[in-house]
Amino acid sequence: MPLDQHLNTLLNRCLKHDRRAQRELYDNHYSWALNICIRYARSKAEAEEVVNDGFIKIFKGLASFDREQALRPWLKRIFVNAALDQLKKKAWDPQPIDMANEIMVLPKSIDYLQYEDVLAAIQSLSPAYRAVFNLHEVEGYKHTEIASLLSISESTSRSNLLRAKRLLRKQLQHLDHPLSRPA
Amino acid sequence: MKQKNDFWKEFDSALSQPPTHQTTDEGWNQVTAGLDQQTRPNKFPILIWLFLQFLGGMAILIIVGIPFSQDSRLFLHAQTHESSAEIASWETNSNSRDIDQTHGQEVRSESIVQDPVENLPKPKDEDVEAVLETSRFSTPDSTHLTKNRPFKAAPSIPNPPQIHLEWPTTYPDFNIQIAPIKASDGRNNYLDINAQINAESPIEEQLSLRYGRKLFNNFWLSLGVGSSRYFWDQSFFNDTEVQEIISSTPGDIIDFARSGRDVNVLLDLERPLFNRNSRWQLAPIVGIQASIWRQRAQEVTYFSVYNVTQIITDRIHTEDVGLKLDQFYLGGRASFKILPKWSLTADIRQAFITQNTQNTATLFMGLRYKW
Repeated sequence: MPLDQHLNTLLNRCLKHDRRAQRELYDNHYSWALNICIRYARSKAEAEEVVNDGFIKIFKGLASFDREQALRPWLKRIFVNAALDQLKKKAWDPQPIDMANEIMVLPKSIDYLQYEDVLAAIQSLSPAYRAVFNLHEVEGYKHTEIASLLSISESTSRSNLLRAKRLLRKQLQHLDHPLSRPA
Repeated sequence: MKQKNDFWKEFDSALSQPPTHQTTDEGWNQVTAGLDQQTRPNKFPILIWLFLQFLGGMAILIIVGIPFSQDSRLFLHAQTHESSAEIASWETNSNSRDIDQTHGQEVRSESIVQDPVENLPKPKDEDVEAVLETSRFSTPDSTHLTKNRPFKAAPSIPNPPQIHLEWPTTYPDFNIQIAPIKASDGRNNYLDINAQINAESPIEEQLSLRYGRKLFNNFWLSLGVGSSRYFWDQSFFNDTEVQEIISSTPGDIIDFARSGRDVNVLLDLERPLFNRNSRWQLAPIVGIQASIWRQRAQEVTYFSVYNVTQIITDRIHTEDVGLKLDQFYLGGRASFKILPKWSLTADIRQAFITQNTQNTATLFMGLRYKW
């Protein structure tokens, strides 16, 4: 799908290193990008760092973007890759870890799940689980692709996903359900 | 199973309602800093290079041996001409003296010239007659000497080099230059090849090579090295000036012809401000120019006898070498990009301190390559 004229113009200006155009692109996609990266990070500050790294890569590699394609999927790939790079920089261990250590007490029940609750639960996962869960469940990657991205086997990817989901359910259902609370 | 589906449905629903985050200047600055960091090479090579240039300049000064004693002006003037010896020989000679109508005007300031009048006795009548016998259009060639001349030739003893440091005098100077400039397109270096044609006398030509480098925050420092050539000759002086020269104080030395070659060093700072990412760009500049110069001059001494205007000339050949701080200048550059890495620029500069004693209108044309 071709890009609209304004976006095309904006990208052209970005290609010419127009700081104002770059800032506009940054402003337009920052929040969306941060919500992607924050699921891979342990904190908002870490996610912001990833977003900024991602934008640097975007501006540096903008010439390679195919204008016949939609912009956001391309941006998303870059942010996800940037987030994975950041994960690998940290103590990256693609193998399953002790689930007991991953349990995090959250203040609300699933009936009242808010974005912050879900995000906190995701962020509490180990980097290996967090990456596989996000890639598969949120981004829609297949296990083959995840295995390639994270340099793990497909079986490890499947295993990590299963355990991540169990952990999330356990964490979120561990909370008191409002209906089960005494009146 | 239903419960499980409900759980993930709830989970997805919550996850699909992320908050909105506001961008911050701090975050954006990190991005721009990252972009600059990746596109800008290390600053240290240019700083080291500038430092080495400074050391080289100091080494030259030390080798030349600048005395700061007699004249504190910042002007290195190594004069090797023979004017003093020639002038001193007025008392007893001169077989090499000719009568000439050639004339000139001193155009290069601060030449070291001794006033010959104080040391010169008035010539006797027979001396004058002897001098007047010689051709008014003769050349300084010694083969033209006549035996009738009462003067005896004195040996030409070169003076020891006289070196002065001279600070430029404040003098308005106006230059118009056309030269290429970079556009703020993410590149960090440029190289200029410029040719300058001076529209006024003295005729001066300059070829220069200028290297520019982005420092920080889009400030650009450029260092240029050029070579200029100039010359004056009597064709610049019209008859009116001839009369003025004749009626002025006798015994002076005036320029007859000069030619020289300078090695110029220009250092300026520019900061693109307007439309810096478009094809057109404007940038203020501030800079400094210094030169190592070498010139040859043929000077003429004239003398007035008994209120009768006569010109007795002595051609004096000099060769000077100097280091001078030419000028400080403020100005602006307008650039026009013609190709992705190539551009043209027009420079307008106002020099507010200059060594030159003449206003100059200068046209700079060149081509800039950026990478």
